[in-house]
Amino acid sequence: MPPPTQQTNTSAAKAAEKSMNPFQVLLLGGMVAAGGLLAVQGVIQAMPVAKASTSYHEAAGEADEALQAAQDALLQGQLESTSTDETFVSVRPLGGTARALRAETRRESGLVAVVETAGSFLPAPRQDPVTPDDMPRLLPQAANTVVSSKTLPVLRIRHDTRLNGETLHGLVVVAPDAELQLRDVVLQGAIVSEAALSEGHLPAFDEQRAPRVRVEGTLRLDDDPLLPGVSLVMPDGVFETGADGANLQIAGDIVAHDVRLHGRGSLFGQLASLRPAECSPGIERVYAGRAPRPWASALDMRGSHAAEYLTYLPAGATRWEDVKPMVDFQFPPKDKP
Amino acid sequence: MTRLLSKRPLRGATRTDLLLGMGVLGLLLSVAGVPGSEGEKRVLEIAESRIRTAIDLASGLARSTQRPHGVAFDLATERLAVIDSEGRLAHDPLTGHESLVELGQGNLESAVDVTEAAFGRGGRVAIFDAHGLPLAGGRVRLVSGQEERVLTLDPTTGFVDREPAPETPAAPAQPDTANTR
Repeated sequence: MPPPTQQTNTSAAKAAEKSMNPFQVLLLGGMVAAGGLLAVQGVIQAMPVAKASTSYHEAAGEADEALQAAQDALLQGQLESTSTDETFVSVRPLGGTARALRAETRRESGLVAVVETAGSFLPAPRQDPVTPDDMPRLLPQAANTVVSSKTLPVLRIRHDTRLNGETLHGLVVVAPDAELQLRDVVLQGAIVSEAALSEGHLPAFDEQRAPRVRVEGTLRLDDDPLLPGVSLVMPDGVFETGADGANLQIAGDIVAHDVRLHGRGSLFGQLASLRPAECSPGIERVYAGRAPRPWASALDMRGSHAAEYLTYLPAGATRWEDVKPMVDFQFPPKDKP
Repeated sequence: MTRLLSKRPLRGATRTDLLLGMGVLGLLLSVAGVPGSEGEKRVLEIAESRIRTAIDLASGLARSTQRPHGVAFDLATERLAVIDSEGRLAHDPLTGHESLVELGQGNLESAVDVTEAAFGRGGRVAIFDAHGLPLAGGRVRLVSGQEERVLTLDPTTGFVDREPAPETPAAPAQPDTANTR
């Protein structure tokens, strides 16, 4: 039997062989950390979600390209629906000139990417409109419907007329040479000129004879279900506010040869004018600067298409002299809260 | 502790230990080196994204208000601002806040450096007319560590493009996919 001291020494030696010195502990720790990092990187790179995301973006890109091609084809009046090996494009009429486009890319793996858009896709105009005849007006069937409607009264303005503090419902038709002054008026319906209802050729704009709508005080103009999305159509007329401006709340598209709106309020619709429109910054133009929206389906756009720009503007209107305050802009101190 | 250690027989590191240790150190250095470069690229990605957002906002505001708007760059403080035609800070219609953006915001502070911003007669301001189109083209140069990125503003379309990086012998050509606003 070995002496106890020798037994103890033997156990300690065995324990020393099994345990590690500090250097080995550090070495093992480093290896574990490196292995962990590499494993995490590998897992992240091999994550099916990342791969799926890449595949999805590729598929969505293809669908988007197909949609752009379809839009271009539509604007040239060439396409109703088309498809490729993996991408199918469909066109759905929404009424009037509006169309909904949907591009769908399907992969063999089952992945599906869909891109959709909507707008009034008609052939692009050969040039910007230059006369009232080029401006949007009501579609003939829409005009006939509202004029013959028993639910929407028609108020014809043949001479200079002033409406003050009225609440109206109906279609207001303004004749040439007539001026309609509105003060504190609420109208559910639309204001149109006689030219907007006609199907014939419109003469050149005449400042003196143009039908005119002038707003003072407050105007609330809401579209009617018979003419959804239409608030004012006067391709040969002038829509303006008085010298002191006005408070406006307008829901529906506006078409006029001249638009001069000053004051405050909101315009929930699109705006087309032949001359550059004046629209005070105080009038909030809902959706302005966002993606193009379809025009009202009751409008015959006369070759215009989805409103990439919300009004027709002449080129080269801005000069360097006009933007000097911008060039001279000074940043506020960085510690400003 | 002293007692425990004193009971362990100390032995020197073997060649295997040393080789393993050097290998592990190499691995750690290679792993640690990647996030540095990737981090710089990420900083530039974020700065580029902020610049594109500001240019989109300025162009959109110009179009919708029919008044010129612009994006001004401050090289000293690495900031940009969307401004209106009167040279005032514009407000983001979504947030209602003034559009004054620090390119090196938060934990990216001082990580990105705007070394150049030139837009013709506009100087350090990219100006968009009432169409939302630029009055002049230009470029912005961003630097983060060893990484550099140059963004160009097309004078005709207003598109922001990424200028290809200077060619290096080993670097394969990368397709430029960032050509849309």
